[in-house]
Amino acid sequence: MKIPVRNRDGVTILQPTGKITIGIGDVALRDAVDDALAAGSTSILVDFQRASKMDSSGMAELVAAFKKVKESGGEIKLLHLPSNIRDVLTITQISRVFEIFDDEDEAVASFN
Amino acid sequence: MLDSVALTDMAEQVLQIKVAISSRFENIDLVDAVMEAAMRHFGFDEETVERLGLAIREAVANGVRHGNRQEPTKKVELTCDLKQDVMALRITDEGSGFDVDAIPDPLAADNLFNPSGRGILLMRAFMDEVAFDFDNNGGTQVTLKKSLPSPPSDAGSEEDDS
Repeated sequence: MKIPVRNRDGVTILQPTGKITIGIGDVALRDAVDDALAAGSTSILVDFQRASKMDSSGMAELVAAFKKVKESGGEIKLLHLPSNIRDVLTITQISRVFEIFDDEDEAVASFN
Repeated sequence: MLDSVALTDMAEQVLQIKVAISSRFENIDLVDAVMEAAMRHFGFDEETVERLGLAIREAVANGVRHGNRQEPTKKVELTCDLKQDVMALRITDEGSGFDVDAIPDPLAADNLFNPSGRGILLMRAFMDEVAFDFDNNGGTQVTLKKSLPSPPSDAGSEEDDS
């Protein structure tokens, strides 16, 4: 599974689809973030509009991504979290480290 | 590969579901699908099905990854018993067990970037009871319990708080 990537105003937008869970979706997220960093992107937005669920393996990749991007001098932010994913990110307190947006224009503008 | 699914209506108000999978990540989705359908049948609302499904998924994933180390010849088995007003699940693997107390608290500030511990946190957040037992002959058994929602016809009883 490869995560679709697009670019808008210098922001790399990743749009994972379906389950961000152990074995497939978590690895796809890791690969997409690694590819974005390798391509020199320092502004990464993960759009969860088409994501259906996330388990602890997906969450582990998300915090690993945060750390990697920060160490590269960049920023990674989250967009359009479905209520179930927002729920588990709140319980695990991962939501506290990320800037989270419901509006793409606002999210993209926040990087500048 | 889904090895077996058994749905047995053993007696009035007693139901048992058994699912056994070989230890591959892709099989976790099958357990998830079976249990989500079962929990809708039991009357849980969609939000609760989502939460309980994730707790079950975490227990099964731990068995596949940490217990059985993805060895396909080893099985993770789930048994769901419905007795009176409680859904009781047992998830077993063939691994060598682990020290529950040694799992770092994922909510501690220093552990935010630690990959482990969140699965057990989610099980405890969503289930009424979570217990870990270790067989002397090898294998971990996770027990998860959740009260069933009150039936709609039973208007006088207390609301389920889940």
